[in-house]
Amino acid sequence: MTSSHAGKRVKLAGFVPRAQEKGWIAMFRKILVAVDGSANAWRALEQAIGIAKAMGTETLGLVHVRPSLATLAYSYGFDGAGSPYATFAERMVAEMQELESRSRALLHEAEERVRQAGLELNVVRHAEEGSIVRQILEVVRREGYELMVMGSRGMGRAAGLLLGSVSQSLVANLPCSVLIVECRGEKEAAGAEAAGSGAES
Amino acid sequence: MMKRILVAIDGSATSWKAFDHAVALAKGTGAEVLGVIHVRPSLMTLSYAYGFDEAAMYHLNLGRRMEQELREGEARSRGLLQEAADRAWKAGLGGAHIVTHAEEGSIVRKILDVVQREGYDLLVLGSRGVGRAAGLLLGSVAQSVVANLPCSVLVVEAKDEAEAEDAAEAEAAG
Repeated sequence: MTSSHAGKRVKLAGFVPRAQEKGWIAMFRKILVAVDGSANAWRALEQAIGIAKAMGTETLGLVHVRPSLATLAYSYGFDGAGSPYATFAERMVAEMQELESRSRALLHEAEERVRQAGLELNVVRHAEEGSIVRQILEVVRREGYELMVMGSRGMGRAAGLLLGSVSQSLVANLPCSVLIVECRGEKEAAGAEAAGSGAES
Repeated sequence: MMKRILVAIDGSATSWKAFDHAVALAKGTGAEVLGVIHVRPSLMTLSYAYGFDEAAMYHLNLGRRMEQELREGEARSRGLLQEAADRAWKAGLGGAHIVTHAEEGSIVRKILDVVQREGYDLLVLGSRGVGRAAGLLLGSVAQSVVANLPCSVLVVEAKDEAEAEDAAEAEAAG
């Protein structure tokens, strides 16, 4: 199910474990940013770039999670297996392909923005499929990210909440440090729009 | 972007870790202000912690003890903030000013108040340690702050050394 075209870059050879001296190093070596095309997520990426610059980060990961067939089918009110319509199935396949290419384009744009900021670090793309929260948690655990950066809203459909449902369950479950980017005063029109257009059929 | 950074400390190793991250961030991003906040318990909180309500307190011989504890709390708070300021100075903050906030009362409410009043862009705090919910993945203070989200919030994970240190201290304290 999970297709991950994570970067083919080789792990840094001299990866030094946390210094054993008393105390710790105040830095984040690996930062992961969740992107979904919303204005909030782009702002989160901007902040992540700023932190990466400030902290001497080695790897900046970009993750996008697209809905799986099951999620898509549920959002149409059908269950995937029981659909009697051949046309429906075809439509699903077409949409899945569309989503995949959109995901790729999004990650590409995100990587471009990082490059434009002039950072010398590894950029790794994670194109995942399935449950947003679960896939992100898995990427963090698998790749050992030390900081996760995300917008307060925008991912998922809870644009009206102070803290979106995705952000909320991530904060509660992440094994690493978390930065939730919130911009006061600016209401997230763009984020709401993105969520709305996704729901329309 | 992150012109004004506030970090909440409580003396725990986890909060010092969060503090160090805040200093590094302030330094690296060229922030203008690094605020440090410590919230000490008020008389109310203290008396509740002892299982007495304030009214009953004066009939027992607790009044003086409370007073003394409050004074001690204030001195501790001042010491902690002084230590933080020294630590930040030693790290060399470039152009950033260090501002300390010694507050009294409910931890979460006071932190939110200061963020709003002083217009901080980023709040940094430890995932645990502020408060006593050491067993949770995310402490109660961090949780409520995140739920209220007054600005961008960085929750620094208390792993490895910091956590072990806090646990040892809690054990020593009984």
